[in-house]
Amino acid sequence: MTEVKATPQGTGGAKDTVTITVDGKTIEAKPGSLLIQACEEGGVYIPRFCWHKRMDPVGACRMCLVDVEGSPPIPGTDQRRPQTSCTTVVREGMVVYTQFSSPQVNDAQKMILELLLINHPLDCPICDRGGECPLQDQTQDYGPAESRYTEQKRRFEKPVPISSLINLDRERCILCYRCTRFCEELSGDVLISTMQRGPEAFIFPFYSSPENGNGHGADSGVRGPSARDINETFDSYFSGNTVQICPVGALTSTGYRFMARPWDMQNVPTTCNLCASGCSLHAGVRVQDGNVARLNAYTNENTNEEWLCDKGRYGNEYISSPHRLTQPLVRRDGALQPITWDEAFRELTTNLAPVLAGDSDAGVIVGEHLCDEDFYAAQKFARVALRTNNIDHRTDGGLSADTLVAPGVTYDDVLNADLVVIVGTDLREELPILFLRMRIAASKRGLPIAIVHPREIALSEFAKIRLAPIAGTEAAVASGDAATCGLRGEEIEALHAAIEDAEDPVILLGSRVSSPEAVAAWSDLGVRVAWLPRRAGTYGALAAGAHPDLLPGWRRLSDDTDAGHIAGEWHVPVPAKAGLDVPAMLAAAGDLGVLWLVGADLTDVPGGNDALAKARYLVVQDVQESPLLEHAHLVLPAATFAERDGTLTNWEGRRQPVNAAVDPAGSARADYAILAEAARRLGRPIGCRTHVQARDELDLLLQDRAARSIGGATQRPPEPPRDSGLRLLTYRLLYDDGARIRDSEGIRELTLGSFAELNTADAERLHIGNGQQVRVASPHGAITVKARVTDAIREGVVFVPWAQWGITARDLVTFDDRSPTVIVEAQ
Amino acid sequence: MANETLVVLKRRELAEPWTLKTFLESGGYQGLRKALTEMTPEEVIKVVQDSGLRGRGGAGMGTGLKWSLIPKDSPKARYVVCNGDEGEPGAFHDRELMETDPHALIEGMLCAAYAIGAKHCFIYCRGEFILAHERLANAIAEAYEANYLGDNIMGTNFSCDMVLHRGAGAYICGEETALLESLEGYRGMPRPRPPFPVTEGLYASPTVVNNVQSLQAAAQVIQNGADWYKQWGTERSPGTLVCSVSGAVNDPRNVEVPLGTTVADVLELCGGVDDRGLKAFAPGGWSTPMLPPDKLDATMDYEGMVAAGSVLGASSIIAVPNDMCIVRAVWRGSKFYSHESCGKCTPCREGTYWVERILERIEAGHGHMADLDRLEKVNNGMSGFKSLCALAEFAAGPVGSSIIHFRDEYEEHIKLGACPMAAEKVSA
Amino acid sequence: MTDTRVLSEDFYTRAKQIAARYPVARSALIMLLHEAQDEIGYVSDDVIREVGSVLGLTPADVEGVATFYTMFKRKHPGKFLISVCTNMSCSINGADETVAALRDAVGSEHTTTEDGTCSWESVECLATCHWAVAAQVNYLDVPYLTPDRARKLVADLRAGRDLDEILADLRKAKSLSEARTTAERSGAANG
Repeated sequence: MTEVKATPQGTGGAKDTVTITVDGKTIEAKPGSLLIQACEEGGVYIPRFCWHKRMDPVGACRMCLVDVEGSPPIPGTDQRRPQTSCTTVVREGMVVYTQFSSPQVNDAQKMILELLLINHPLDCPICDRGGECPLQDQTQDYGPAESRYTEQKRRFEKPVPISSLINLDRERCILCYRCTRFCEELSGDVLISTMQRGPEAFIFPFYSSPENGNGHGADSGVRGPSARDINETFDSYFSGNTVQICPVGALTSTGYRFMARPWDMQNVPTTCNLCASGCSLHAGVRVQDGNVARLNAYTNENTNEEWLCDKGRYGNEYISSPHRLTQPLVRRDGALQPITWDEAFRELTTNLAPVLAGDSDAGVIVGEHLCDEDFYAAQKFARVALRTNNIDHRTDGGLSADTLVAPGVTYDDVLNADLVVIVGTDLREELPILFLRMRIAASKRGLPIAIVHPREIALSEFAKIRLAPIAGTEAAVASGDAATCGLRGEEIEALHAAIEDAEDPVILLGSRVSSPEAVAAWSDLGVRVAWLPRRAGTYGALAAGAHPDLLPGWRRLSDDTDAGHIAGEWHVPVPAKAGLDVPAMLAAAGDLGVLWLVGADLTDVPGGNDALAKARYLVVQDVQESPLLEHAHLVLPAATFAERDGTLTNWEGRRQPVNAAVDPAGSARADYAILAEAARRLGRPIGCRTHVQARDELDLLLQDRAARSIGGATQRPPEPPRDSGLRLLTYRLLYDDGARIRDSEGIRELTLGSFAELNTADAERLHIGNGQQVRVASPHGAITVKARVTDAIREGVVFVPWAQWGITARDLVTFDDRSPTVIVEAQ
Repeated sequence: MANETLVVLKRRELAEPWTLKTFLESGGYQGLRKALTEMTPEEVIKVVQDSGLRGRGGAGMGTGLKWSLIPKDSPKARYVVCNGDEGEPGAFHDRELMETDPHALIEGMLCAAYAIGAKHCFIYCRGEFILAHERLANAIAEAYEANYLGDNIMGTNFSCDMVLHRGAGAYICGEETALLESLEGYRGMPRPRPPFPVTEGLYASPTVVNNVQSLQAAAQVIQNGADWYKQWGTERSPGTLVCSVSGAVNDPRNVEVPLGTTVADVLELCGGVDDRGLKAFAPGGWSTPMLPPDKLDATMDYEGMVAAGSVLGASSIIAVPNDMCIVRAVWRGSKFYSHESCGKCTPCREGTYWVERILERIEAGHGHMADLDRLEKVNNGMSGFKSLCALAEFAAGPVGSSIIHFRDEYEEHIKLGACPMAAEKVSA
Repeated sequence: MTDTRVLSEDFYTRAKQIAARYPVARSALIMLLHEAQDEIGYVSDDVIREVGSVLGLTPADVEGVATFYTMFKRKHPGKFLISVCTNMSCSINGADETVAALRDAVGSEHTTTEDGTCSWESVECLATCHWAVAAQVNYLDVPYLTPDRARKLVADLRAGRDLDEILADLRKAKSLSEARTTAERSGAANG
């Protein structure tokens, strides 16, 4: 049939490009590159549907056909067989004719488009994709003006929600397989698949089949499974990416359905603030009503490439929620009454008199979703206006000043390392895009990964070394104390040896691993260490000094030179008295003259509720209504990240811009602006009137500064578990009861609910069956949840996720006892 | 009047030819013994190449040539895969060969494995072939038992394992890259070529995919030499060919003849056309362009059939009788292609669907003249090698050739507003 | 795990053996689906989940593969599945009439009789074209399935007659004309 030649390779030779001729034009291409990409980079666009530059080519849609000299002939004609440019690797001297110069190719493309359109419904008027649709665009540019098709089109039930976030319209699908390939190749969540065969084929999740037979193509009206036949929905953290890469309107977001037309939207680039990955977003603002209609990924090769997790993409509905705080509120006669900003500041001046006089202390707690400028303003407000060092951001535990880890490890460093050791975190839950990029690197290039975690995580399948220590004993793994962490000596030695042997290893410490001795122990191994905070603002908060022991620019309160420098810049002295951290502030809530919460959610913090009830004067500065308001004396409405400018620093220490896309709701203001005005009205100005002013001041203090890592053991080592006790492992899943995502219905539906996960052997020993109700009791409290029995967690440990539908491990822990021994009993 | 020349079918008349005992008694495993004990792998490839044996799966690529394209310097494992997924309508020779002479297939595969340095062989046997599967499974067990498979075969350094694998009902898995996908546990969808299986095949490793008949013939070529094989056939198509003959013939069966035998002679070996008389025939299974009775002198070889206006394909003659409506037949064929299309690429998936719809209407009497023109255009549009594999070309063959030779039948349907032959036949 | 399984211990033992034959375990997927279908009678949702769990594949992945192949049935086809070829050589020799007879005797395609005995399907070329009209019962070959023989086959199956006997009888015929004549002579019109 064909003359078979092994694929001729580029000769390499002296040049480092490959010269090809396309439509008579010379293009210098990268050796080994695909023809379609080389042409595009050389200025010749070849139309395509299935090809996507971040996935392997499949040659399915046939739209990218070109004519290449040297191809075998079509028997009986003087034409050559067309080739798909997406599966053709460039060769030195290749001569190519695209649709621009070859009538054969032009006709072929017309035919492909006509064929794609025979079953494609005329949905454009009601299809979300209209206006930004590759099928529309390519039909316009390369297609026939009319169709000759006069038969019935294939019909499916439409649309079918395949998850709470994604709708599927099979009639529109052109079977380019981008969605299924994204799942197989990139995210690893093979939850949708191509079902059946031929013209009967469709994409769907696992379903119960109502019928046998693939059909014979006979038109029988609406065919195939419907929504109620779905057994498992498309519950992937990355499902929204399939919507963005789908070249038609087959996959659409339920939240965006019918919301806007692309030509009515203005796209504002910004940065997501729901975790520390640092993803770039395009906020699509509908100009008619000034609302954010949707968030899409914005290409950023440094951080998220062109992906987002579903939390970032769909978890921002709170911005336009009816529960937004839009006016200042003051408590009068037991109820919160709306007032003006002027009145609010007067209230402050009155009620903060004792603090200003020095008769009582103050406390400021900031949440970790805020921008760098807000952190800077908050700590300056605390120190200059309230004259206290009682300022902290660590509602979830976190680094002490003794354990700072230098940021500066980047995505590229991790992805190009020859060993990445993941300690104490399930990346997919905490930094989904870092997980995604690592998974792609592991799966495609064999990125070597070692995992140190009591429980299997999403990257476990790629781990070359796998250690499952008892929860809370990560320090012992680093120091080699096998007994304490419940491992064998050889296991730990193997890990240490691998780290030694690697030339370019990186250690990633999860946010759970924040005790000073654990961080110190891992740093002592002498290789690059990156501490990964879960939240978007954590690095910014540390750098800005929103911490009782830290001053802006990684300076220490206890260091006289550092304090002196700050005082010099601010022209006011820095308070001398050591500051209280979050647990101490909560314990002292009844004594503090004011407890000021800036975007901080204490309801989910051990001891938080008590503190709120006891607070003498509680100021809540936040974006939306919450249980915090129950005890608030003064409420100040804050602007969301979509409503103000600023910067965010991600886990790499990379600063990225936050840009206002819409006006603040009601009379809400940016957090830094509220604090700046309050300071001014209190007679103790802090500057920070604009985000630029705050940023510039902070930058000056950051100049030539870098975080330092300091060792020092300040906690006693964890006790081995008692007889019937298991050590508690708890951390947040990506979807939980978090304040920001509470308004995103789709995400709420996907929030798992609580459970206690324990090993099969432990379950047998404790006579606990899978699915049985169990009581989990620690010295601090107890909860009742369903048991999950599995071998995916080590013996001696029980995992309870944090904050799931009101049941939270918060009740089992305290600030300084985060991995207590718990008793698990069947109910 | 030609006679049958039984080469790969030579054991057909023996009692229980599928047993090791009968196989050995009738000279089995001699080719393998010669290869392993007297020849180098290069010599094995050369003799097969010199014999001119061409792949009997339809492509007609030199078997020895294919083996020679396995990269010598690749560090990856090599594999030999037998394509036992015979599915071409009208073809039933591979099935008989697997049922009758499974050991001959094993022998041929082992010769190929030795030639290319493979240690693993896979037989992809069509899922519906229960008997063939049983016989192959028994033969493999016997071969392991008697040291014709496994470690140190026949006391030599050559070790090889063989796995019998089943299909599950998909014609497209007869396409070699779709077969490999299926063998890897995926939907049987073809892969873009290049790269070809010889460089990146099973598990992205160098793989030879051969037809049942080619492998069985190769073992005998190795045993008897290239010249022995060239005593039959034509210069460019040496050797013998098993042809399946069915449809309107008196004695439908498989016959083995030298390549170059005329269609007429082959039909005669099968008792000739039955009393319905011949309207048309497809020489290589339904996927090859049909020919009218005045082409009965076309020869069953690769070049000869092309010269006659068709393709040798699966060398399976379907005799279409005069009482068969061509439009109905082509419509039925179009249902086959749309049913079997894997759906991966646009022209085949949508083209076969469209063609079927038009033919359905014409056969039912709801066609217009414009439909005939449209049918031709869509048929040509779907083919022309735009698709990922040849299924679309196969689908186009019967449609295009039937319009050339039997346009009047189409026009009659349209003018009459009904199928002239429909009577009370109920649709399938 | 304490979850209940529908596939037998024997299946799981064989599944491991089968998967071990291949350099990459996923290759065993079709084989395992065949084994499971042979045991349960069809590829049910549970089969999909359990086979997936053996190979570490999601149910969506397994279902994508299973539904690609015609032999895997997602709905139980009854105790006996009659597959009749309606492709070219068989159409030439009367497959349409056979299908009409089956439709009368059993019901429409893919429908199981109420007693759960049998269903029929039209299939593509079985590579037994010399036995046109070619057919299979549970994938065991049946030659020359004329309308009369089809009616008798259905009747015999529903009467509970042993399948091996039925097949032996049917295979006695050595040509299509013989099959037609024999059926006429034995007056099997009523089945």
